Amino acid sequence: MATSVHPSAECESSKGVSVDAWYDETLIDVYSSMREPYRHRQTRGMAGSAILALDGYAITDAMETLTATLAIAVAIATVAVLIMWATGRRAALAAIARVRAAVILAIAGGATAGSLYFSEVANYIPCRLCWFQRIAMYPLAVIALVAVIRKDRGARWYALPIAAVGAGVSAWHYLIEWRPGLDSGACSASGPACSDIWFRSYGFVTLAFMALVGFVAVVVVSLIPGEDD
Amino acid sequence: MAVALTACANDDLVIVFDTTTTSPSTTSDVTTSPSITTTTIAGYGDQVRSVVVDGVALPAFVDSHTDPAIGQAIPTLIGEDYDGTPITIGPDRTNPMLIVVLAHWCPHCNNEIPEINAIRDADRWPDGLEVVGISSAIAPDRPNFPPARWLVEKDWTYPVLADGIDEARGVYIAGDALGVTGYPFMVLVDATGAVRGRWSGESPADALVALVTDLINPQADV
Repeated sequence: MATSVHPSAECESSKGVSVDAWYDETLIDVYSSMREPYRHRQTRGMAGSAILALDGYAITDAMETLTATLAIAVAIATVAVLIMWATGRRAALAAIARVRAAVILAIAGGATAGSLYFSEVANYIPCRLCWFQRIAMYPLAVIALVAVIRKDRGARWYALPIAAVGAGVSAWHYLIEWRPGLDSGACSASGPACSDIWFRSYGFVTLAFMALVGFVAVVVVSLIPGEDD
Repeated sequence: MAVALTACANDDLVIVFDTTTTSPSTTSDVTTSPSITTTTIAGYGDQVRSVVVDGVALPAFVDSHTDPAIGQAIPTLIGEDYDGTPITIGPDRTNPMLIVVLAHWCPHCNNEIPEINAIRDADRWPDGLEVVGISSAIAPDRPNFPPARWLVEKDWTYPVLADGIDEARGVYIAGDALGVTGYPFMVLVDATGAVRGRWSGESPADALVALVTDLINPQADV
């Protein structure tokens, strides 16, 4: 008596389709399951769904590259601001300070949108440290939005401590991505470990790196002297 | 009784019960069995294989010190390695066995394999201990895929059972049968087929040897 069953035995008899066709029709479904057990996609069925699913993966890959590139750009801009600060270019700093809240809104708002895309669309399940960073990043966007609307120049003092705490968490998160031995020591079967990375663009840009850049940029933008200092 | 798990197009899981007793072909610790039928999936799918579970699954692991699985016989896992060689891991044993469940994308597994290899190369395992791997949690879009190549690159030379996927439950079949909740995951089985200990996470070579030795021979350091 057989102790195992192959799809061919069941599917050909009950559906009248070949094994190859069975694989073709269900490849994406199976592939989706294989990406992660907790990461099922609603792409059951026919080839059309499969194509859509593949397009979804291509979009996510493009988003990874886009957000990584933006993070590098923000990092470069932050370093440029620090250089201006160190070389005493007060006029340039004052110009940035005049739109400080808008700059923080762009950084925190972009980070929030990217974060939600990767968790809600790409299904990259946030780890524990990811959630701590979200707790810091999302309110920054709201605070900055209110500051822009009310033209509140003092809002940076609310944003600064939140961003500083977020930067600390992101720095630790980024460190354990490179040194997983500093983490809990195990990868969870039910969810990602904090040392488990979803992607690493350009060899070093991860989600934690992006968050770190965003938080540091907000800290720097919050601290640069303006006309009100 | 054997339970075969596989998937059919757009349907729920196909489960076939067999009232015959599955008997490994030999009494060695990692045996071959002629009963498994290879299931490969086009594209990425050759990295997951059919796995038959015979016996009572171990409960989900929570804590090593209060583990209810200790003393319980492991279920028999009938599958194959990435070359298609049939492999059976079960309680019908003559030697103790260390089962190491690995995930190719897990950084802690990547750290642990060199520790295990160091023990192997220095011949530090307790006498008679056999080591077998289970390659689980396969994810084509994550680092080090495919695991078959990853295991070669990591110089993993012990037998390895390629895990399968239970789509309906969203679990990896062999991992689920052993109560895996994290990676790397280890199950130490004594010569009677009973669980002596389960744990998850990285262990340095020295600590791993000490732990395995102590669990196999609890009177050794008395």
